[in-house]
Amino acid sequence: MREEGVEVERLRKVFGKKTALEEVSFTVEPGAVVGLLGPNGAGKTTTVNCLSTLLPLDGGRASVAGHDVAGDPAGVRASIALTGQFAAVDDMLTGRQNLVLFGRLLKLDRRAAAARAAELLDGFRLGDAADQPVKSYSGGMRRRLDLAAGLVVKRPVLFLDEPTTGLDPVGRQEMWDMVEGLRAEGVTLLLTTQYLEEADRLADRIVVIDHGRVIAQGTPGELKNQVGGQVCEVRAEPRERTLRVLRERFGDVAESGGGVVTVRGADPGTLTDVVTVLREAGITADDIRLRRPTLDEVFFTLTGAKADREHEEVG
Amino acid sequence: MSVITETGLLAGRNLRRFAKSTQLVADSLLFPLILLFLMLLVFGELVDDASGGRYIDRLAPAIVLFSAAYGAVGTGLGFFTDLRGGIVDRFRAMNISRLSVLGGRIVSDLVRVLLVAAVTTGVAHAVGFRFTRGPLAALGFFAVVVLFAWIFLWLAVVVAMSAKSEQAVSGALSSPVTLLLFLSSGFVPVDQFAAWLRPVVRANPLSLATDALVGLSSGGEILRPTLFTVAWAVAATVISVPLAVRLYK
Repeated sequence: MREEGVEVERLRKVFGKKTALEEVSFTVEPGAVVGLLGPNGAGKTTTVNCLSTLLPLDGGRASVAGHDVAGDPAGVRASIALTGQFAAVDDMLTGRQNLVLFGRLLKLDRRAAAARAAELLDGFRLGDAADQPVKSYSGGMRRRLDLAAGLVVKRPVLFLDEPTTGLDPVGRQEMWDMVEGLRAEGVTLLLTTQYLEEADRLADRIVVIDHGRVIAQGTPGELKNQVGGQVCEVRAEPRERTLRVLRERFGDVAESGGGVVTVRGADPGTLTDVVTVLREAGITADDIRLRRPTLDEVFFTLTGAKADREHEEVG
Repeated sequence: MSVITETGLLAGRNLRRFAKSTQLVADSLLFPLILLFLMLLVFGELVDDASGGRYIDRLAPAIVLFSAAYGAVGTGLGFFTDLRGGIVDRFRAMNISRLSVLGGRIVSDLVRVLLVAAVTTGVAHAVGFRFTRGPLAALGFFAVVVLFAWIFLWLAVVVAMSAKSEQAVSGALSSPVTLLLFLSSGFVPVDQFAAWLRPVVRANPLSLATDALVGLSSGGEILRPTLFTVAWAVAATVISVPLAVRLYK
């Protein structure tokens, strides 16, 4: 049995008539950062809540740091830190009072709790606001305090549930720096996110879930290949002819909203090809650009691919 | 050992929150005093004449108890906020006893009730309320207040965990408490109620605890009303505490 990783096998969770998790299986190797990626309602938070013993499992099994989630919840709780989607700190208390409270609840004595709080406040760049009530903090500061609260006592496994949802770009960047710092320390980290970019940047491996099922997993590179490279967006008139011309040459061409024609499965070479094809047809493009697939497109591709496979199995 | 430490830490946190919300402190302290003077002004002479007694002897205990019961609304709302805000999830994901979070809430709010009771009786002293039965009876007075508050605080915790919204929490708590007040012998003597209502008024824990407090302050029957109050508290404990613990899981 692995000492510090997370193992999830056929995890199932039902709320009344609604099945939140159909069947979720994945592994987080000790010291690895795994991103659980999915849209709202995919089951990300439910998965984290099951793993952190906040919700009982309805099927399957899971172990965290060698402790069975159902059989030894106390062992799990002693091995994890959880930072939730909503900053779970006391907004009436100051940042310092919060961290001292959590430290003392985690059985540090008064002096050790105070010392650890001071250390964390500095490390998370909250030193100046340490003695201000949390309700005066910015969203980013609250999240950092929340993360710090999870680290008062060092734990081998950390769950971060949507650590940057609702943060402005500066706050997000700061949070990413903190998470990268933790990764460098060798903490095992399971991070949920709706942002492909975030998973891409922070995670060693990404597990994509939708409707309570794992629909893909792999390294960011592997997933991108599965999704099929980038997207080339073309804005040109007349649109009908642009669409036709491009369709003759490229496989996956679609018309998206706002007069934009998209060529999927593109790479930097595609850009040159598109320009050539359009010039040969005598079409002047207003705008041509290459971008990464959006999360929507990733899901479209992944769920589409999954549906195809099911057809094959049936046929 | 650790349950007690954790409960103390969490109760300390709740009290700190209370102390920092000036509005809440002012409301909890002023509300009973306003009620006290208002009732004294409006009904004082009337009841003094009707019952031949001193209205303040009964009014002060009744208001102490009513504010203790009404404080349960604050308990319910406070706990509901903690549940929804995610901080309770943080506590639950930590390796601390399940009882500590509930215990911390009850202990802190009992302290708050005692504080309000002390201030209310202190001010009532200025308008003639007296502890005439000695220090032990005075201690008993506050013990009965705690016992009475205990009933409503656990109820508040159960309501907070079952309710879907803040409005539901305060609705489920404030209406019954207000009804309890009007159907009690706290403000109006029992014999002023319609005959068919009297048994209800007599069995009302607010009436019983008021009787006990009157006995322990200005004098009167002590044992019977105190025992009935204890019986209410035991009944509430048997029902609410296991329910609260189960809901918390």
